[in-house]
Amino acid sequence: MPLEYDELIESFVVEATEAVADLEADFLAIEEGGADIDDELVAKVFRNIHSMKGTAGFCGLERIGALAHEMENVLNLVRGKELVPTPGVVEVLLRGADQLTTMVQDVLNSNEVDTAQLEHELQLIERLGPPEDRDGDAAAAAAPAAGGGAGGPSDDAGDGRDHDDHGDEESWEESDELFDVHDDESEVDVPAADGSVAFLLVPTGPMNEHRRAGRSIHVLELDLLAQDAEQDRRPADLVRSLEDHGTIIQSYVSLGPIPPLETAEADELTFIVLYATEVSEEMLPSVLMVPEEAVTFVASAAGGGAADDAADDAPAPAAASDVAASAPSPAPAPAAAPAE
Amino acid sequence: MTRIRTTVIESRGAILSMRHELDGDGTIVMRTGGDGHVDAAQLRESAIGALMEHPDAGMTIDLTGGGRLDAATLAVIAQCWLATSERERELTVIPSDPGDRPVLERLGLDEFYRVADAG
Repeated sequence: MPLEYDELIESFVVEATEAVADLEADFLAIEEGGADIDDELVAKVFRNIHSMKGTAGFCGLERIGALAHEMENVLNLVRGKELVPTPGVVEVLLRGADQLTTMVQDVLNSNEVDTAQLEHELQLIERLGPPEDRDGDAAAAAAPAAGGGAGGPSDDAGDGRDHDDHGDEESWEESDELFDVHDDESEVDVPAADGSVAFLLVPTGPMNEHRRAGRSIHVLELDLLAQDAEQDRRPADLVRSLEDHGTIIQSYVSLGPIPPLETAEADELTFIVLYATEVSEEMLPSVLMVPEEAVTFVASAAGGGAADDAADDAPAPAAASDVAASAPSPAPAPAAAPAE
Repeated sequence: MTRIRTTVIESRGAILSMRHELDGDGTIVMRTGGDGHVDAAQLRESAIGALMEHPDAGMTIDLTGGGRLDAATLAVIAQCWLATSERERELTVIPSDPGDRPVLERLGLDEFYRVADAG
């Protein structure tokens, strides 16, 4: 959906322009400090990026939100003294700052900008540390295919990313599955029922571990308010039920549909879950006591799991172009690590 | 900076009055009693009033006087996060039931606010 320049985006641009103005100088100062971290300065930059990420998500500015999210993750490591801001680290952050500045200046077209490569470089820093410390083999082993990783079975996924081919291409193309069960080195955008992206750049390795253990993968979109009102089911009860019947790989609450505090009460609160379970797709809604439309099949179990049959009915992987206007960038890891 | 302590005095689910204490670091502290949808609505009303009165304050939602976290309260917490983050202020949530802390984390919301322990 095209973006429109409304008051919310106007407000975002004003705040983001201010936030990015000092980023270059701040990052250079952080680099100069090296291992002697200036806590106050890093905290200030972190807050600016964090705030930009949150508001971008709320405004549907998906690429700004995704890039800010990765920059925030790196800054969080620096803030926690887990990562030294070497020149290599700061060089990537500076390019991120430049990219954010460019996108804020042309905010209405920002969702068309391909930030995948930059996000990938930031993710590599998160996983492997400063570029200077990495040898080529380790980086290559951890990296998805060049260009930011495979996001779907074809290059026409429509998300503006470079979906390079990778292992077991032939057998993969014969299936409707989102990702190859033998490919543990890529990352995929996992679609929601409406074709928008529910989870950004999810590593295939952990999902394939579940599949090889006989569990299929689903996206669940659960309205917590409806669950509570209609079934007297508190969020804790729902989470417990999910954990009883499977594994929550990643999860978050979509803040997109939530009105501002002073405007109205929220009439929906959608809990979005990337879920692995041995329960078949047909049985899953009744077992979890959730509406059928709340369950979207993603990938079948491998090796004769109960959900294999469901693969035949699986929808083709959706285009990963229209990230829903859910406020947060999807959590980067199971049980998202607190950023604060 | 001034600390603004907002105590919600509650009886049978109805908020009777609200008072502010001024003592420190610019935080509105909201305490709730009971649970259920009515209390969530009242929490929202209180939050709106408190933020109108103290727009530059951070906020702490102390749920230790209430029961298990319900979805409506969770929605108000999300709205409070939006309101405080717009103002670049921190939101802290103190859940009542220890079992609600992992729920808050599973919901991914702890990425956006701080979940503190009671006491």
